[in-house]
Amino acid sequence: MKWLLVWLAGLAFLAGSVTATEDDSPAALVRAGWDNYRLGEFNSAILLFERAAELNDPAALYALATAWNLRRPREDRVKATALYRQAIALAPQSDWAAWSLLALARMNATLPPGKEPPLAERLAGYQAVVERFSRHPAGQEAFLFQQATRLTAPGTTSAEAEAVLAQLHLFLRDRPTTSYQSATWCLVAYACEMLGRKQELLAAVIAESETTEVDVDNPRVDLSWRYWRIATVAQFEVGDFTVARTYYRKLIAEYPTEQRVFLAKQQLQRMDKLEEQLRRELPPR
Amino acid sequence: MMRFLKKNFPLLVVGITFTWSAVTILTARRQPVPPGTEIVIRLAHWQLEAGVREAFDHMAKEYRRLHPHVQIVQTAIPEGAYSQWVTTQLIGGNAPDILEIGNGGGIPYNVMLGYFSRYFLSLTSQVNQPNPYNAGTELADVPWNQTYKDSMRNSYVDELQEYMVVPLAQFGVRIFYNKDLLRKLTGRDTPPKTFSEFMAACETIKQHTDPRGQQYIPVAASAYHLAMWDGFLCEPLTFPAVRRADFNRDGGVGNDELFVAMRTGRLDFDYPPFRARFQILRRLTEQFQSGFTGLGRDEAVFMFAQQRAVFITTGTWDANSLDEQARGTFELGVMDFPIPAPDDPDFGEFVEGRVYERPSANFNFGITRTSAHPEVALDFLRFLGSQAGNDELNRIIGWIPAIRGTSLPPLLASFAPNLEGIYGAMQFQLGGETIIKAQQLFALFNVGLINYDQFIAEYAPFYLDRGVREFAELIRNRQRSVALDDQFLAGFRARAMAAPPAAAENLWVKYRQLTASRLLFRDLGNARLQRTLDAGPAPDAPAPYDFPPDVIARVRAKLEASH
Repeated sequence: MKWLLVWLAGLAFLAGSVTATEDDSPAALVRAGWDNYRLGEFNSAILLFERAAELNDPAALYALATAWNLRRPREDRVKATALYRQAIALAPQSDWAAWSLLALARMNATLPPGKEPPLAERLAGYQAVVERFSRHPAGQEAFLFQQATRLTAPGTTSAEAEAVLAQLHLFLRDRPTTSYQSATWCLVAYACEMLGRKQELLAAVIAESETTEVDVDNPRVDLSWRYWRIATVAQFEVGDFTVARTYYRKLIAEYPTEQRVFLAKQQLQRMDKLEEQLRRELPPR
Repeated sequence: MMRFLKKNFPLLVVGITFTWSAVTILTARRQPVPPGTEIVIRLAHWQLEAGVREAFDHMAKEYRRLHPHVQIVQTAIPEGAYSQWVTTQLIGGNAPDILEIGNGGGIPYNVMLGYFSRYFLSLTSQVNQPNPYNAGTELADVPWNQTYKDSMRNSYVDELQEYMVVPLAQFGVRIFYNKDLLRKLTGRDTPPKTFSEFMAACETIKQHTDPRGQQYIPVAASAYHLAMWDGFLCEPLTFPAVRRADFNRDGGVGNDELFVAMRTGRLDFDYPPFRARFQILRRLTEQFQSGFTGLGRDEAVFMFAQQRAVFITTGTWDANSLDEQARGTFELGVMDFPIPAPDDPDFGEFVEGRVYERPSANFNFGITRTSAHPEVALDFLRFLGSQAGNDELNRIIGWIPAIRGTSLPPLLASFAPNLEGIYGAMQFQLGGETIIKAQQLFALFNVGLINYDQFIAEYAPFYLDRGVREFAELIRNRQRSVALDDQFLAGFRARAMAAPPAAAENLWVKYRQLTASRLLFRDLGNARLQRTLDAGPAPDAPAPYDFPPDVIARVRAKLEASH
């Protein structure tokens, strides 16, 4: 009797914790489910997603799969995989199919350390998304994850970095207005750094900065880091003191309370000193 | 009767306690409100320091002058019980309209995130609009967040991509000193400015005894205070290490970068700035009372208030309390940390500037979802966060206002943050074992049981050996958190997909930026460091901020061309 009461109380608590929704349409259930998901209420989210998924709604199937995939603890990757596949089969050209395919690739690529599958398998997962949804944001994300994985894999060779660089340039050429331009230029810069292509590195970090999307609400997103990066690359990799000075001065003027202002002023002095010293060494005209 | 009492004693105790609690709560809830009050806004905080409650009372009165139908009622809860109290209030659905929330309330960050989502209102759209209480000032048309000295950076919660709190003060750390005692014992009318002046004053102080025959202590300190001395005076001497170990050239040296620099022979514990940090720390701790590491914050403050010590370091949060304790007894002064002068024979060469202090507003308040009048709660916060309101609030408390164009209370004039300068670059602990070992040895060093050479002899081999494993674990830990970022971003993406077109665009911008910074670029820095580590010892490799020969040649060529 006592256990029955406890069980009933638990059931009542669970039922109470599910965010009530008066609208029983799949869209409303999914929306309420995501609200619960974002609050970390995965049990409630799953109950809502399940109700919507009963109506074979691909958005609900994707949401349910995501909850099982990414809930911590008590994730169920097998169940998540089946649900993602179900969403893809149900609406193969939909947004849900694209994000489901990327989620399947990420599931495989982000297994805990020590359980990672071979590199080729991880890259193949991303390739499947790229081939099927090359213009979709999910496909573009998959491409960038794929190239970042290639660049950071242990033992990456120069030849591999060259190949990645070529792919990245091709991506930018084919998608001149992509929203992922800045991220792509960042990877270009990384590849150039690995290959010691200094002039290209400078061009890439400038392009990365110039194509940065500005999140107007976020006070923490600023360009000071990008100015700093351009200036230091120009100063220490390329020896282009004009560019270095320009960006150090922009940093000082636009972000006067930034931690790197002191260093920026020191670097401006160092460049002046070096030039002065080199000038003194020049033969008289 | 006695039998009944004896038999039901536990039940009676519970019943009486419950009745007492219920009566107390009901009485507290039904505090008398002035006639004409239509709205009561409750505000709770954990600041029991002198002046805070008086300041809120005063501001509530001022607000009522403008809005006679509103009554503000504050509740101050001791810091130790605050997190439990807030939790029960929030879960019970009867939390005050305005709650202080943030570091210091004892609520872990991940729990706080959950609370923000469930129980607090987002303030993003409101902080992006001008504060009406700034009308008639130069901030009249400026969005509220931009009227803050730190642009409200700390109010923005990355995980939610929303502003959740309104900060009301800034804090800083300086040295407080007993002006009368300093004058009496050293003959100085002004505080020491440099480290050598400070040490000379301390040595003179030690030569005197108080009326009870006890030797005066130059600096009242405890384990709590040691971190401030180290952070503001000692560790900044290690700044030159930035030029040697900042492999990703972000302007700072992380514990991972320092390990790679040490392991590959680019740096070692004998590096003069590192040695200087420990030497200056030793010289400093010799001026503390013996056994300071075993004492708590209050014991050190007590020693200072009893005029047994001349100096103590603490933050603005203690300024008013210290001032009150000193009132009528001695004159309180505030001075900056006495950094070594450029001509200091021991440390001068390592001090490249003053110590950098990032402007940062705190003393944060959020509005709870259960508030019956959130618009009034917001209006009161706008009142407190306006130029005039914030000035007045902090003038009474004795803290630093958070809004631009405000004034500093006279006692805090020395607390104006230094916005340009040096900072520490010696995080020599990586994970479990190195942290414990370093703490053990640091504790021995601080009480004078070992010197720096003994510290190095024991710690360096341990760090270089165990560090390999801990460095790998550090990288793996970063990879382990990928799932949580994927989880967060999937939820955020769903929000962007469901948003109406007008809001969707900016949500997608946020989503792409978060995806890039948290997932796409996550391993780039790790891989760079791993490659440097794998390349093996390179004691003579050019440092990140060295001019390589090809760069010098290029600069020379350009100068020749324009010669």
